Amino acid sequence: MSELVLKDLEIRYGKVTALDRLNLSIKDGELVTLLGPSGCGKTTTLRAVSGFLAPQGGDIFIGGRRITDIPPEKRGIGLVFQNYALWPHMTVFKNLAFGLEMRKIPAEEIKRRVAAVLASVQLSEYADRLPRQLSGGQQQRIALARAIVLEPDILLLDEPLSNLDALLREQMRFEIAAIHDRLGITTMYVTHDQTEAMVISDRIVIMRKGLVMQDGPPEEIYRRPANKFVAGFMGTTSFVPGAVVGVEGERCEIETAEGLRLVGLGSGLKLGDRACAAVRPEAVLLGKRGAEEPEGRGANRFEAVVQRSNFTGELVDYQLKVGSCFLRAKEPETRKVHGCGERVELRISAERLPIVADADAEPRAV
Amino acid sequence: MGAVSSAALPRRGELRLPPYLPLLFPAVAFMLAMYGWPFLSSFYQSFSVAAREGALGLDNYAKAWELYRKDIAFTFAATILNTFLAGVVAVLFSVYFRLRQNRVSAILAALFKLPIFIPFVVVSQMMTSFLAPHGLLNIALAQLGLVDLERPLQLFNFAGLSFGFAWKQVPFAVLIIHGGFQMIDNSYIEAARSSGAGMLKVILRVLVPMNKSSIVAALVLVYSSIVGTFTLPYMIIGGKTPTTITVDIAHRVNYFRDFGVANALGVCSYVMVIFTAAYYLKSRIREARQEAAR
Repeated sequence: MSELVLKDLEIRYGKVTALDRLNLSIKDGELVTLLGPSGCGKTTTLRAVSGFLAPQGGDIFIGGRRITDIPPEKRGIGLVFQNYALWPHMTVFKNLAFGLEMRKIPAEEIKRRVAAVLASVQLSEYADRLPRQLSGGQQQRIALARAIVLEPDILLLDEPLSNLDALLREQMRFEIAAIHDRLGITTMYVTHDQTEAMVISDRIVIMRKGLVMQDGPPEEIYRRPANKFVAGFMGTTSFVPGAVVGVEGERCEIETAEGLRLVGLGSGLKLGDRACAAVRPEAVLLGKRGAEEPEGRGANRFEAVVQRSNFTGELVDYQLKVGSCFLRAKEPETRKVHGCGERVELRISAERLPIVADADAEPRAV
Repeated sequence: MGAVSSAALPRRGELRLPPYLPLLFPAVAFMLAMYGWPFLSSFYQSFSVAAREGALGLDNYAKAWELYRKDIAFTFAATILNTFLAGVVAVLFSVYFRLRQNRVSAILAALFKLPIFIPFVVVSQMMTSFLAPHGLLNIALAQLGLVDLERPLQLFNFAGLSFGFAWKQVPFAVLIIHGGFQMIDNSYIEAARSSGAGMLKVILRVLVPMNKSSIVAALVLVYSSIVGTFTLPYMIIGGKTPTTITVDIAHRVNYFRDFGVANALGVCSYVMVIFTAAYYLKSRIREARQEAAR
């Protein structure tokens, strides 16, 4: 069992608190992504787990074993860096064999294990090349292979795809997810790219100012953000502020200053609370005024004016004005394209409209 | 359409000078006048036979070999050994400065640079009083009960010379080697440590090989500098044998006006340096090509 547990982890840089009593556990074989803006503490967490940063408080456990004071070379952790960090004077084979040599594995066994891992990342024919003779994507796969050849208890990946171009990055997301599914290594993945996190993670931990803002499966994080920060960080979101005028279980209704009423899903809100609807462009449906609701479940209907429409290839990106609020909508280019100044009816299903407290989501531990 | 004018292309066998040649001319002319000409002149004179005007031969080399072969061997051995010692000490200090970035290492790194700015002649004077039989070192060791001042350590020899060379040359080597270590990103070190390597393995398998070019550059420059040093061996060893060939050259010129043998000894020192310089240049060219290929 290689469960990773962080208990009340505390790290400060002078007067700045980078991690504020962080509690987190990653189950055996799970891939958890730490996601957040720069300075949220995600890389600090990874460096503390890898042993390159000593926490001022709290403990780290791997498989129930306390490793807080154990040096990095004895933690049994595989690490993949943003810049790959392949040793330039060693061939691909030697890069992969290095860690096994440190563990005094017999030469024949090293050959066998390196060959097997190179085959798994489909780079067997590159064993004798130097890192500079490989492309960025190949170097990243070798960096991953170097970490997994050691069969580590925990795999840590620090923004491993951020140096790759967009196309290769998309390809590598699926490769990393596939490798993880195949090997089942407990993995902590650090990124600031939401799409990357959504594609590869079993669970996403959203961080801000050293605290966990929300921890859950990708779909839950996206559909049911815990606060305004998470709603704003995940995807493109337009906020419509108002006051809570109705609560019925998870269904929540708010009214804006202009009298618009929006029904959505929220929790922890009570009548009179300041709240806002987090409108995602893909949840907005556009149609002619007075048209029938296509899915028959649209709880929110408003008249809007198209301010701008941008053709982005597969989608048309609209900027709409509803009263004094600006909203975004994205529709497939196969549907009718609305021109600038056109009046349209906008529909948002209540199930796809999160309502969150209208505070600036001051960090508090979840 | 689209044809290239035949006038623009050089004909087979035709010599076409590169267009940037005039830009290189001042620097090349200066090098030839200030370094090339004196070198060729001394090389030529090393073959001139004093007894026969205008005649050339190997007489000066034969005489140099007969009189100074022990000194030539001593110079070569002292240079190799002191370069090696300076290199090892410089690598150790550089690694320390790279891996331990705290207040102590910052102060040490600043103090360490001071000897670079002290001229060799001053270093030599300092060493003669520091290493003397009743100098500072022996007195300090006597205070600690490690040396009897009736029989002090005799350091006006190879050991003293090595100490002086190290004192003067290690900081210079550290300056170059440490610069190279600073260019190595932490992630390379952390990748090695997370792979299970202790600090010694990180230094020997990652840091030193990745910084090979800086280390080689420092060794070549220290080696060349030691070969040509005069004041330190002159003041530490003086006229005793064996001594370095720079002392012998001064002796031949000052006491015998024997420029032929002095030049032959000079050529010996060129030979000692030229192989390391060639190796250095070759490795620099290879690196530049690799850099360009990236």
